[in-house]
Amino acid sequence: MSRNFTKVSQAIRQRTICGLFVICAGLAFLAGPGEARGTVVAEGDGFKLTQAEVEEFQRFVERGPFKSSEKEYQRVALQVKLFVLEAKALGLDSDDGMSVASGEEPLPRQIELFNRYAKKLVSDYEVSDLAIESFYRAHPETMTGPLDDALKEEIRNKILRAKAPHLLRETFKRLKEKYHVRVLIPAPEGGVQ
Amino acid sequence: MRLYAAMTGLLVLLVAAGAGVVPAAAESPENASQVKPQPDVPLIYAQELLDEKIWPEAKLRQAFSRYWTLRQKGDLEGMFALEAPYFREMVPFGRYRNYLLMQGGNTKIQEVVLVHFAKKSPYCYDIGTYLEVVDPAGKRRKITVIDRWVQAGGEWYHVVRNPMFFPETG
Repeated sequence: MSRNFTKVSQAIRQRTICGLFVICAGLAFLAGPGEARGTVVAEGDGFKLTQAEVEEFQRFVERGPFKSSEKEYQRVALQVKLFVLEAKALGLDSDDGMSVASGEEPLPRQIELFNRYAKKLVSDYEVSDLAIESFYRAHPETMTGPLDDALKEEIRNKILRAKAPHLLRETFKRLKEKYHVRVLIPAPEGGVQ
Repeated sequence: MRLYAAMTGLLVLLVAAGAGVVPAAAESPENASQVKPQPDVPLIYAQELLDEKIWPEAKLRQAFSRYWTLRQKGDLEGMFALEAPYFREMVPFGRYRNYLLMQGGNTKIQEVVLVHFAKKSPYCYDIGTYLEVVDPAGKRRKITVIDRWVQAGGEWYHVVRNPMFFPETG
């Protein structure tokens, strides 16, 4: 009786070990793509951008009607990363009590900081009086009133709306140099997924 | 929902930023003006009413002549410097360059014939011209252009008015 019990016990142990091995193998298999997602695709002074972050960004964007290419998602994820670093350096994260002491910020928070920095960039940009005057005088058909402060502000905002995309692009270029960005694994070229 | 709206705004901004991207080489001044020195483009007055006296200021005539001479020489960067300051703020040089190249950048201007002169304000004039051009095939043809010029800060500048290409500047 006791011998039979031992045999049964050994068999159960073997099956358990076998089962554990299968589970471990399965986990190892599943860990493969996960590891890929954790791969650093770009890095620079004081930061790393992982494939998981790029994919998280992609999922976030694709909740809406927009889709883009892998290359574009990587580029914009990198831009968000750099703008967040600058936003923090300027203390734009410290006025609402949402500051995270350490570690990675959640994506919605990163986007909030990105927007704050982008807004500051644009609002701090100085549009010259010459640009405003030339716009006013070049449009006599629509600019009929005097060039008072309100109209100057209206023209300034119009110029800034057009200027903003170029300003952000130039700033991104500058920050890539400032943070010595290296793209380790460029996303593949190609159209919208 | 609010976050999604913020994200939408972000994307529109970034996509718009990407739309104006041109290769770095295209921005290079070296690429814009590598032509041999040529004489100024001839300015011809087409009607009896149009002569040297039509110019309200010598500076406008100089700027106008310089602009079309630069165009004749293919000096796109030089032309950009003569565009109105607000336009240079709103439109990057690469996009302006692409626009000019699509607007007959490969044609050779032989002469600029002034046919119309309209004062819109003391600081703004519309100047109608025929451009005598020769295309790469050697074919001679005329192009009608109405140029706007604006004075700001004591200087005269060219005004690009093309709502199809540059709707934001209108």
